[in-house]
Amino acid sequence: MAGNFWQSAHYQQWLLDKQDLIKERQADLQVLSEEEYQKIMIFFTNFIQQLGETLKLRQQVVATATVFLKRFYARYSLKCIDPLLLAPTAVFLASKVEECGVISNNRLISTCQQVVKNKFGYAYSTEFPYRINQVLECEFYLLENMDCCLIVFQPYRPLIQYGQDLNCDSDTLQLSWTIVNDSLRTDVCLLYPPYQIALACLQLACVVHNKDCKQWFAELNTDMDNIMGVTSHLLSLYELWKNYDEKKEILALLQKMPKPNLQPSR
Amino acid sequence: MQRYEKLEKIGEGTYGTVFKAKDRDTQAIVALKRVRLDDDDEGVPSSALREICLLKELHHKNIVRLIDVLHSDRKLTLVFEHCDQDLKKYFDCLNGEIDPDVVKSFMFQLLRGLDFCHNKNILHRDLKPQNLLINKNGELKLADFGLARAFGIPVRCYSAEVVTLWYRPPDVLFGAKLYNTSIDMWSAGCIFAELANAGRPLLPGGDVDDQLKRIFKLLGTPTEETWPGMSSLPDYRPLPHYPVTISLSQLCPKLNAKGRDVLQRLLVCNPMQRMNAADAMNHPYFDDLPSCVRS
Repeated sequence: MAGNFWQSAHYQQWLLDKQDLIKERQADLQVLSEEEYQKIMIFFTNFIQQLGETLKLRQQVVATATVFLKRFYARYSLKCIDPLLLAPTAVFLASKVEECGVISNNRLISTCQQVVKNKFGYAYSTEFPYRINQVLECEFYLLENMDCCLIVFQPYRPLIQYGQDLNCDSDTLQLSWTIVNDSLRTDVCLLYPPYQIALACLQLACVVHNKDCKQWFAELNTDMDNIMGVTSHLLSLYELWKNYDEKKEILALLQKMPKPNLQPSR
Repeated sequence: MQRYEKLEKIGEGTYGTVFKAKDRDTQAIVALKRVRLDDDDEGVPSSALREICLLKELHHKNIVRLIDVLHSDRKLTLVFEHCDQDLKKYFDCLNGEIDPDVVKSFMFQLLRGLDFCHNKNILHRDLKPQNLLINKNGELKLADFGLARAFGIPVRCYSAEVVTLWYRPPDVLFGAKLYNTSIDMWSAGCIFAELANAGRPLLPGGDVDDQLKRIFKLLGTPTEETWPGMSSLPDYRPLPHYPVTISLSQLCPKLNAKGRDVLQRLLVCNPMQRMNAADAMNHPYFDDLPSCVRS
């Protein structure tokens, strides 16, 4: 669906307003601070990334799965569905949407068990608790919540194009790609068009590598306020990471996180 | 599900049963496509997801509209606008006669739907009369996008064997794994001839070999000169060298000269030289198309 972002459901239905996003999160933000909320989302983005790497999925699939997870929690509280279940569900759905073949049930669950045990032992002392029928049920809720808008535009393709146009060296391009990956740990994929995210990441990489790109950016016909908006999300992420040790803090955060009420209500 | 009253079974789709139903709120007639989920471990089938994904992005009068997706206790139901019949059934009621203006109108609408998909980088990949829906006002709509895909995203290769044999182009029959919009244009050509002949299929091959031979008997066996790269296709094998013995005017006697020219430009073995949808719509054959169809 290249080149049709402006007519896409992504543009029409899934670019949200920052105020709305904060309003939707009110229930969770009564329990968690904004920073704690972001740390939890970072954790589950990392979880998706690890699942993707273990399953040898392309970054595009990982990014789409992450956007699915974020879209779900943009509309619902963390207590509606445990993100530990939603994350593999998003990976499962994204792998089908991105046409990279279906992941078999056994492989998905065993990968979850393996990743939780080997990579996230500091967050979970017990084994991955979910079974495939829960993933399949959860897939329905995810589809429904996103109003079946499944085609997600990502910054990677525009990034490559801009990089070529700017005659970017491979180090700078590599860095900007990494920054795009980092951007999945912020809300920018819910708030800004992917090409603007790409531009902001490229600009940041140029600044880091002392590459003069002022002229090129000055000639762009785009909303520089939005680019600045993306940049400020990125900078606050890097600020947060400076003093944050996930291994030490996440256990307490996960305990504090609102959870589904597993007792049937009477 | 309470909202829709099932009326009758219409048929079996790629991944489930299709029912005609009435929307109790609006009284509109719709088609319900029930997606089966029980028998494998795929979750929501890829073909259904593909259709949902693409139709969410495709809003056009020549493409069947996805109205809603319902989900209730492990069942997924896609709600489509209802059309009276598909082109196959339409052919069955014709008794071998079709108005040339109807042929032109249907062909133009098919091309317009395809042009819209192709502009959005989407291939249908499974065009055949059963997948073209017709309603009482003479409107034609592309349906069943279960095999369609967005081709803008580079993937290693496309899966082979996706188009029903009769409408499959020679490059795909030779195992080409990287194809583009030209795959649909070949199918459109076959459907055009079938329209002009009031439902007699142009190339009803029984297997891949028979299909290729039928094509080459009609168009002449291509050579490396007329189709560079042909002999390097994965499943290429030399076939007898057939000369062109029958003309399109014999095969489609009711089609006028301009119409035959469109057909000739669509049925080209070399996919690079096949006409695209936009050019086909601009062909002089369509010059006298009634403005009510065009607009």
